[in-house]
Parts: sequence; structure tokens; C-alpha cells
Amino acid sequence: MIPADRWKYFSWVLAGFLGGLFIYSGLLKIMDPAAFAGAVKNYRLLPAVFVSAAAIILPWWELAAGVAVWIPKWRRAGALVLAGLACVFLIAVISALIRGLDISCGCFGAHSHRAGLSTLAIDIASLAAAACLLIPSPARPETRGGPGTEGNTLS
Amino acid sequence: MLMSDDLKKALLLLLVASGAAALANGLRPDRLAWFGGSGGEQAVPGGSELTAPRSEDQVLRAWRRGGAVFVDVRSQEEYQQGHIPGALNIPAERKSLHLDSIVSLLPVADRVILYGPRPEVANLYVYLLKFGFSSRHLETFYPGRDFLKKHGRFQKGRKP
Repeated sequence: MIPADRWKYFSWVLAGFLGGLFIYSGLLKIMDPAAFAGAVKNYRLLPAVFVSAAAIILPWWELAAGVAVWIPKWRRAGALVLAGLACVFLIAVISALIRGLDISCGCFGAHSHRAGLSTLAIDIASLAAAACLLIPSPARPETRGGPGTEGNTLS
Repeated sequence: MLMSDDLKKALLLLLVASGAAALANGLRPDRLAWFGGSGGEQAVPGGSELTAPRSEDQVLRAWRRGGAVFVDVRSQEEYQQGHIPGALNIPAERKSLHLDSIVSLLPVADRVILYGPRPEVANLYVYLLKFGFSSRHLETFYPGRDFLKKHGRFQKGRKP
């Protein structure tokens, strides 16, 4: 089992990277929503009527959740949202690969690459990182008020 | 295990972010329409709404006839290795650095043919629409893997 103090540093580093990644990604999309809408549409997963709404909202969810994981009291809530987003992105990329679509992944606005194995790797890593942040700290008891409550170091 | 407290916070986070998204989109001069793109707001182009790509023969004919502006959306390095004679180079990834070239296209924008890999072409296509180009005047061409390199007529300095 990982000692509580090491887990604390590990979670900080993980939250730093994960939050930074999604904040960066969200800001790029917010700056150019039309391009992101085009990228969403290219996946051909959503009915056309919902593409704009997704392109408007998703980047802000990324930004908000990215900031939240940097705040200890909001870290697990942010990680929960990021895990959900990572799952959605993962499904979209896998479906694009299966259908052989030659499209931009849309991950980082104009800096996006083709949706491919590298995109898949980023999404899996993001999902794993978010899942790690959801795991309770070794010193964090499942039931509040139980033995070991004093050792709660995560939030 | 997830606590209901975390779930509540996550939902609150999504709600606040959605509100911020709606507000930010409403304040943008180039705001997107939430559903469908009517009422003077910007419709979402891309994907199937891109004009049908031109064939190699059609591109050759357009080049010979003149009157069309070719835009190479690939990187500068790829452009220098071989491009359609007279084509402008506006790399999709650095389009914001080429605003002058884009603006210079506007008066002669009767027929602009964007060529390169599909994602980059789509990227610049969307961008040009934001600048006031009409989709009726924008055309696309996706050259084959070796088309621009192997096709002697398209090597830099040679003419079809």
C-alpha cells in the first residue's frame, strides 16, 4: 500500500497534469468553437441538431473540471467529470477508428492531429489519471468518523 | 467509493460551466446557433457539409483554365517539396498567422480550391467561412499520397 504522504504528492502531480491538460484543451476549443463544432460533426456520432450545443458546452466542462481538480475540496468532483469526459472521447475515437474515418481528433483546436492511436493513448491515460484521483487516499476511511479519520490528507 | 457529496459537486460544476458556456457564446460576435444554425447565427460547417472533393482531372482543368485560387493547407516544408504552381500556402495549423493571405483572397474569392489532407482542409474551410467566404465558392481537393510528389507536372517550377 502507498503511504499516505506519498499518495498526497502523487495525487497533486496527477491533478496538476490532468487539470493542465484539460484546461489547455478547453481553452483552445473555447477560442474557436466553430472549428470544434466541425470536429464534433466529423465524428458523425451526434445528430446534427446537437452538434453546436455539444461544441459550446463540452469545452467549458473541460475547463471547469480541469480547474476543479486543482482545488483539493473539489478534486474528486472534478475527477468524476473528467473521467466521464474521457470515456466519451474514448468511445468517439474508438468508433472513428473502427469506421476508418480520416478526421482530426479535435482535441486541441487548431493544433489537433488525426484521430488515431496517439489520441487513443491520451484518452486512456486521462481516464486512468482521473480514476486514480477518484480512489480514496490510503489514509482516507470509507466511512467518515471511523478509525483513522485524523489521517485524512486528500481534502 | 463515490460519495453523494462528490456527485452533487460534479453536477453543480457541470451546471455552472454550462451557464458560463451559454453566456460566453451569447457574447461572441460569431456565436454558434445552439440547435440547427438558423436566425442569422453561424451554422456549423464541416463533415458532410464540406463541398464534394474535386477529382484530379477537375483540378487539372481548373488550373489550365485559370480563375481559381489554389490554397495548399499543408506545412511550409511539405509545400516546398512540391505544390500546384501558383498555389498559396496557408498551413491550417498556423492559419491565424496568415491573416493577410486570407484577406487578400476575399476580392478574388469566386473560386478557391483548398487542397491537402482532409482534416486540415476541413479546418481551414471552417475558418474561411468565418471570414465571410461563401461555401459556394470554396472547393476541396484531397491529393493522393504521392500525387504532388510523383506527378511531374506538379513539381515546383514545372507546369501541367
